[in-house]
Amino acid sequence: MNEHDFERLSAYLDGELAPDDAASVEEALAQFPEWAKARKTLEHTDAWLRQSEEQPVPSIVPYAGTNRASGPVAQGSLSPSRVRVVALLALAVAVIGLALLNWLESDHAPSVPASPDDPQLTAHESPAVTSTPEESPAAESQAETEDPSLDTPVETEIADPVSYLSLEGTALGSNPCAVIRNTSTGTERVYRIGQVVIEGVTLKEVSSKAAVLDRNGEEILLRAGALKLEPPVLKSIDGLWRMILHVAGEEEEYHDLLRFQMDGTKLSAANNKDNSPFATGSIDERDVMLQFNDNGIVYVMRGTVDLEFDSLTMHFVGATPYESVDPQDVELRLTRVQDEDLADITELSSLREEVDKVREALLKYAEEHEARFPLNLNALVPDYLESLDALRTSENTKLEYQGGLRLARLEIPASLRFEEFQEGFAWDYRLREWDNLLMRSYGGAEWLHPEVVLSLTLQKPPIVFTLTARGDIYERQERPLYRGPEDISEMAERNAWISRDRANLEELGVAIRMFQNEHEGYAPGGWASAYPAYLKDPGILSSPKDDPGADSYLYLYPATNLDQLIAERAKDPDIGDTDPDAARQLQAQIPILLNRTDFPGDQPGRNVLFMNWEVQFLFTNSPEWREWVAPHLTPGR
Amino acid sequence: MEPCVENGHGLDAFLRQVEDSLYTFLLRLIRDVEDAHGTARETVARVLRLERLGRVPEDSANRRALVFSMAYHLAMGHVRTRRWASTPALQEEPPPDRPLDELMALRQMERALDELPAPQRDALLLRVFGELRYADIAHTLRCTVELVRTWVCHARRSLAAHLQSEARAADE
Repeated sequence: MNEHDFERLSAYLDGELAPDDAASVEEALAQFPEWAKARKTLEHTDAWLRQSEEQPVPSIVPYAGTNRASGPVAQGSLSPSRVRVVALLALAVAVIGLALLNWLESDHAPSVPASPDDPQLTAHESPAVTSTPEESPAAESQAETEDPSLDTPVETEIADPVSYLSLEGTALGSNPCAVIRNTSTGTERVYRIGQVVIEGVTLKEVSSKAAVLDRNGEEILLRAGALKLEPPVLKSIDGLWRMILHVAGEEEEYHDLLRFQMDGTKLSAANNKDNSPFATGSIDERDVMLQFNDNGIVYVMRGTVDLEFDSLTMHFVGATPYESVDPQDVELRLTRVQDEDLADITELSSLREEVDKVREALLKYAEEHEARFPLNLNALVPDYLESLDALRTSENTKLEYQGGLRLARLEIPASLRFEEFQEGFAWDYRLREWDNLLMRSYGGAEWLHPEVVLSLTLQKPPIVFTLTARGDIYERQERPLYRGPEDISEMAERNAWISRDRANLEELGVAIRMFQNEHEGYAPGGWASAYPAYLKDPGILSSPKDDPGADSYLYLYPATNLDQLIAERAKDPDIGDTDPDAARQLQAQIPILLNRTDFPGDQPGRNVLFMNWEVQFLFTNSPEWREWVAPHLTPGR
Repeated sequence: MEPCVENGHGLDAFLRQVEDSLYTFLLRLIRDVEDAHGTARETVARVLRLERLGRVPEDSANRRALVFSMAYHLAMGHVRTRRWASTPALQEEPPPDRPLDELMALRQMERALDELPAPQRDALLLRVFGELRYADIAHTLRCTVELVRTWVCHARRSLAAHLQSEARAADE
């Protein structure tokens, strides 16, 4: 059976096939066992879904039959959240009202309204009882609005306390309660479940839009009839909208301007820049459907405009031909552009181009300078970039640049041979290959923590362009990765220190490896023996957190044959050949270089270069530190 | 065609007949007992209001289409509101007094439904619980009948595969 056959069979089971087609399916069912098996499977699936049909408690249709008189069918409806908001407001009013009532009650005896037909109540008639429900204004208005065709016998209607009780709001949660107003006395109170509302009548249950009262076992539904949702005033969707296409899986956002045009219920959206069509669709009151074609696949998105017709969020609902995309992953956020914001927004596209130019220049510079970005952006002008004016002249933009970072600073996988590393070092694309390798190994980009080289913040619209050390540009509404020092901060400063310090350790690691390669596996005896052939810049011996010239790093195994060290630890001289995995595991746990002092902060920690040439930041109270690093530190080191 | 229902009382009977399916359908979409119940009641209230205006179709199939389509839209609106309000989508605590195996089966089904793309899930739920025709589902989901046919089939097959893999895992 192929896909088409399954579809036919599924449609046949639903009675959705044309008679001819249905006959051919029946024939196939009789003839081929796999068809019969597939039918059984599909039927079993439906049965399995249905088996867990749940019983609603209480009934959803409680006001049918004898309780119909308990209230008119809802005149309006409310979303649960709105009801809760109204309920909270009502609660606040009720609390104030209660305080007033208590004060008044000290002088005036409460007049308890009662149901004339209730035998318990008629025995204790109070003056208020003489005021029958029919006389109350609420009862009159209710009588006017009720449809006689839906009514039950009149005598129960007269008797019903609902005729002078009205539900003003409910609050759900762990302690549900209802705000009930007595229209004959004009009082309003908050009742919890089990509390007596009027004599003989208790509050039994509360839902988002109704309360169930219990009168001697008889359930009476009190609906939130007083609360009405005003129908929305529909406006036009025509005009300019800012679009943000957000793809969660790829952590991407794309900002642009769209112009909507409405023709009856038809809707078209065009790119504001060149007026090229972006999508077509329809609008039904506030519900919007859009479809756009991307490389032959038609994507369908659906959403609802807010009441003000100022914002619209759409979600992916399907694609033709079918494509497996998680609907939650694709989101189109649209906000109406006000005229005064238009100039700022149109600045976006020109800035985007400028940022692209700066990116190209930075990458080119890094390629020609051993993968280092310049210390200052001005170094790009004029060899790599004509001018930086476009980024700096606007009052709407704020530029931040973190100089001296390395392009695609990545941990070099242990499996990579040194020659390959040396060969590939100069080439960006090799670094990107390692990047991909790491992504595959560790399953995500988060692990790599790309540092922010440049960020350009726009005040209006609030967008941040971010260029990372891997050469990627992000364009988002908030700064995703990096907090500048002025954002506060010790934390940001510490993070910047840690990452620069990490770069130092990596370079020192490269120097050790290069030395070791040419000295039969022996590491340099000290930094003097590595300078200048292997260690070109002695400045990296000082951590950014320490004073310039400080000897910041503890070098644990000078003049040691590191391969032999591994063999000794493993007690196997040939471990590198016999069990390379175990050797690599061991390398990843033996530190070579680390900070002499902790980085300041709530949780002290240090960068450590391990023998697999990876740098890790470890908290000094972490188990990894205790297991891997502490045993190598002799007292006083 | 089913016989015409005379008046509101016939509608009551109809609503009572579908209320379990309606509630379960909403519970599968909303995943919250209280909200599903509230939405079901709101659906019923709206249908009764339409009945007063004489806008409820008389035959059962069209009534079902009206009720479930309305319930679906209310549920989607509710889910959307809740998502923006960052309320947890899933009911944290299982309802009490249900046997453990029943609860496990329910969780298993929720997992299976979670794995389906939303349009497929919605189409299948409308078909199974609402017993809606493909044309009505297409109208509700605003897509073509062919797409509904594909979605329902895909959903059934995915659920069947899920069931089989769970059964195999249980055997092992």
